[in-house]
Order: sequence, then C-alpha cells, then structure tokens
Amino acid sequence: MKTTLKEAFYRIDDDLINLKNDNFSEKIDIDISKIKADVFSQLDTESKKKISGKKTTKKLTIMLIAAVLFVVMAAGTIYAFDSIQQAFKEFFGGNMNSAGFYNGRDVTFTSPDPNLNVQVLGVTGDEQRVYAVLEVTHKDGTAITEEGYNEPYWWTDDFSNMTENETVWDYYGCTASYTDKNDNTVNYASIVDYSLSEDRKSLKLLFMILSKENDLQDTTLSVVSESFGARKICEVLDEKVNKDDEYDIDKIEKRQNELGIDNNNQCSQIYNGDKYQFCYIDHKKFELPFEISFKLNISNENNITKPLTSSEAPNFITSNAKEVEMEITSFGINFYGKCDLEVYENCHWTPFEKSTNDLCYEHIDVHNSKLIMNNGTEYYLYHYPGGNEGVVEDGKNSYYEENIVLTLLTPTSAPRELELSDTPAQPSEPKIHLIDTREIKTIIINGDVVYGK
Amino acid sequence: MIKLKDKLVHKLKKHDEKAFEKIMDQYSNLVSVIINNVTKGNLTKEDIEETVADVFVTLWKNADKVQEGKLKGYICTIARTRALNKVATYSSKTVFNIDDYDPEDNFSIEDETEKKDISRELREIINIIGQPDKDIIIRYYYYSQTVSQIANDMGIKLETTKSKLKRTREKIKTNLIERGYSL
Repeated sequence: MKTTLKEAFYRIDDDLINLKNDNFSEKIDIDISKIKADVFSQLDTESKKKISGKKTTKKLTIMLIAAVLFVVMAAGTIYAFDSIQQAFKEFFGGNMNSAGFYNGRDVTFTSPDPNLNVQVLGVTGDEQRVYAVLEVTHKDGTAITEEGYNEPYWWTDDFSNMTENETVWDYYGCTASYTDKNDNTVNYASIVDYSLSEDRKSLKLLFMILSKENDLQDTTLSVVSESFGARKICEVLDEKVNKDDEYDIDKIEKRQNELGIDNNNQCSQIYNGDKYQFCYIDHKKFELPFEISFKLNISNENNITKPLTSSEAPNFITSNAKEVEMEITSFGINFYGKCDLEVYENCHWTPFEKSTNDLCYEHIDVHNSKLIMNNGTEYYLYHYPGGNEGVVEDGKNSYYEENIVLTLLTPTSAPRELELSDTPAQPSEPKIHLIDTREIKTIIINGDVVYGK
Repeated sequence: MIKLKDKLVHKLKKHDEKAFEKIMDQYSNLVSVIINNVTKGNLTKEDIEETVADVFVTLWKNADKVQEGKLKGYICTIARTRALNKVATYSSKTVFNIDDYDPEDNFSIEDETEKKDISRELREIINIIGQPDKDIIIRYYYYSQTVSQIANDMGIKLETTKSKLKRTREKIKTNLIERGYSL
C-alpha cells in the first residue's frame, strides 16, 4: 500500500499546523451546546457502567450487612435536627426548614486505620436529589492534614499510566456510589463539596445523589475512600482584581526561576473571594482508608405542590403539556409534565434529541426567572441537576412524561460559580442553596408568575 | 518561558470538566470545519455534530496522551481520523464531489521504513518553505481545504493559489528526492 503526500501530512501533529493567518471563513452551522451535552451524556453513561461493574461485589457485601442491620435497627431512627441542620448550613446558603433532615440509618463502617472515625452527620433531600454529609476525624484528636495544608481537594492520582481496563474512577482517592433496593446502581453519587476545619482536625464531605427513579427511600449510599488531598499555598506569585486583567508574566517567571519550580505542575490560579492569585502551591495526599454505607430515608415537610397550565405560564409551559405539576421544595422546584403519546411520537426524536429537547417546557431563561423570598432575597433558577423523561406505560392511557429540576443560586454567586473553576476547594458543581419554603413570596419563570402569595 | 495557556492541557489531563468544556467551546468550530473538509461536505449537520462529539469523547478518554502545547494538533488528528472513519462508513452510498482543483498527488512512498521517516522529513522541509506557500500547503493537505476556500481565506487570487500550491508540491518532491526518497 502506498503512502501519499496527503497521508504523510496527516502525521504532522505539532505546531506546524498553527497557521500564520488562522482564519477559516467556512462556518459550519453546529450547535455547540448540543455537542457538549452529547459528549457529557456519552461519558456519563460509560462511567456509570464502569462504576457499576467495578464495585458490585464489594457493594453486595455491604448491602447484605446493611440488610441484616436494617432488621435489627429499623426502629432506631434518631433525629437530631439542630446538629443535622448545622452540618448542612456549612455547605448550603439560606434558611432551611426541617425538610427531610435525617441522620442516616443502618450505618456500616470499616477502616484498616484504627485511629480513623467517620460519622454520617446528616442526610437531606427531596424526590429528585439527596445530600449527605460525612465527617472524618482522628480518634486521638490529631489533625487530618499536616500544618499549612488547609485546603482540601478531591485527590486523583496521575492518569497517565491508565491502562485500557481502568477508568478514571480507579484513580480517584474517594468515590461514592448509590444502589437501589435491588442492589443495582441506578444513578451516581458524587462529592460536591468539602471543608476542613481551621484546626485541620475535621474533614467534612458533602455528597449528592441524583435520582431518576423518583424513589430514594431505603436506598444505600456507599463511600469508598483511600485518600484525600490537601494543598498549601506556599507563595502568591502575582494577583489581579479582574478576571480579564493580565498577570505580570515576567515577574512570575522570574520568581519561578528563583524558586526552581515548574509552572504547570506547581502553580495555579486561585480566587480568594475578591481577587485572583497565581500561586505556588504544594499538593499532598493524605491516607484516609475507609468504607462506609448507610440507608437513605427522606421525608419531606413543607413542600408545596400546585398544577400549572400553559395559559397560566405561556412563556414556560408549552401548549403540548397536557398536565404539569409543580413541586416546590427546600432545594428548588421540580416540574412533572405529561403530554399525549401521539405528540411525542410525532416528534420522531432520536435518543439524543429525547434527552436534550423538552416537549412540555420552554427553555429556561436564567436571567428572566427568579424565586423571591419574603425578606427580598432573590435566587436564580438554574435548570440543573436531575430530571428525566420517557414514555409511561399505563394501559390505554400511556403518556410521555418529562421532569425537570430547577436549582436555586444566589444572584451574586451564580455567575461566578458557573464560570470559575480555579477557586480553592471549589466543587465542579454550582453552589446550591436551600430555603424555607414557607417564606417564599413569588416565583417567576421566563417572566411568568408561576407562584405568588 | 511561562506557559499559562498550557494549564488547559494540564487540567484536561486531570479530567477537569470545566477545562474540557472550554476546550470544546474553543475547538468545536475548527473540528467541524476539518470534518466537513475531509468528508468533502457530504455529511449532514447532524452527522457533523455527532462526529464532533465523538472527537471530544476520544479526547477525554485519551487526555493523558496530550502533550502540553500540542492540544490543537492532537484534536485535529482525532478529527481527521474520525472524519475518515465516517467516510468509510458512508463510502458505499456517498459519491464525493471533487469539483475543485485537485493537484495530482502522483508521488507516493511504498517502503514501510520510509513511511516512518517521512513525517519528520516533511516537517523539516515545511519549515524552510516561506509564507504564504507554507500556509497554503498546510491548509490544503492538513486541513483538507479546497483551493477556492484557501484563496478566499487568505485573500489570494484563485489562480495564484493554484500555482503556489503546485510549485510548493514540486519543491517538497524535489527535497524528498534529494533526501534519498525514491518517488
């Protein structure tokens, strides 16, 4: 087989391909947001399959133990509302009511480190999502991390040696999984936030579980940890106020040379609350080997449900929607919409279109949608996370159902949290806020008032 | 030399989803252009979007292999490979429309050892080609642009572009022969 000049060019993969005039007049009409959704959907699906396969045996063992304990401890539910609420207040903004706070049941904990203690501080959630807070401490009262290493982060090992049979999840120091009553991994759980106390003696981890089954009762969260990371800011090399300002590269480079450090591996930008800083940072792994699992059991109080029609909210509910129920919880607003099967079938959607398009709802305009509290506090309504869709077989009354979930973000935090990725200990998810549903004054979506007292 | 921009690759290697999103924002259009060019405009919008998504899924899975400073080349390589795979999938039912000027690609290399070396040799030769000839040949062979597109993008007359492309090809051929390749 002959190699043509064209094929030889295909092997050029370095900076030669950077054109002097990097202008391509051709514009292909593509939808980048759709592509991104497709990419994440594919990766999400694959990672879920892999997680499921990886820990089945381990989880089965834990589930069996949990099942035995469940019989023994079923009546042993202990509510400690104040302490549970306090655990969540560290992570969630706003005022919370008593919706679904629970301390976790049937806890099984094992660790090869006799000095390690892990407690379930609390569980809370609604029909669409559950949050759990764990606290890791040393029994002898010593610090979790070394002095100066005040900022925890989700540790991952170097992926560069990953083999074909491994996944990125094999390289995370701490992972969580979520199994249903039948020991199936029906969705994933992830660490969405973490904090280290000032004295470095207490590491708190916030987990989120998304439900697509609308049934989180008596399901199990399992956390397998080997290690967690923490970092020390050794020196601020330069700082700037605005994101678009330039760092003084010469100054940074000079100092890096003096310190003998590598820019790519030992330096990164952080945001300290009012300015951006380019810092020399040291990362360290701390061994935290343990496994813990516990049952989730959520009951919701003070949720508000109300039907909504397209005539009440024409800019949000489409005329396709036959029936939509709005459920307002401390975590946000869930919508459960139904439309005739015929309407859905006439769309001839591909699986991808099905996962990205909505029949019952218009696209949520974040900047034209708000939840306003009695005290005047306003929250953005952000279409994230959770929700599902599909045909519900109900005899002759089969229909297409679409659920979407709107999360609350504060006006000041939302733009920053959706944009920044370099903040110390910043989770990859936006910061979520909880509210007291009894104090809601008005909810506006796409300019339509969908709830008001 | 400080390389702040390489932080994107560094983060990609750490599987930072935000960095990955930035990469998709930054390169989706380029990837779609390459796919469209390689497939000679025979893919639908949906096919192109699907192939672009495949490119980024491949990138994510192989993030550890990306060398800092070489992200664009790596993405382009995946894009071309994916596009060619797509062509192979559809080749039985697609008739490619090659109605633009297509300089005769009449020299080829059969020896396997030579194949391995030619990219290195080619790189050296291209480096000594001046502008705008260098961009023209890269656009034609690497980005699979048509001569009309190159002329349009570079603001050069079509006939001039054709003659420059032909001359550069001859120059490369001569250089390769001088370096011992039998063409």
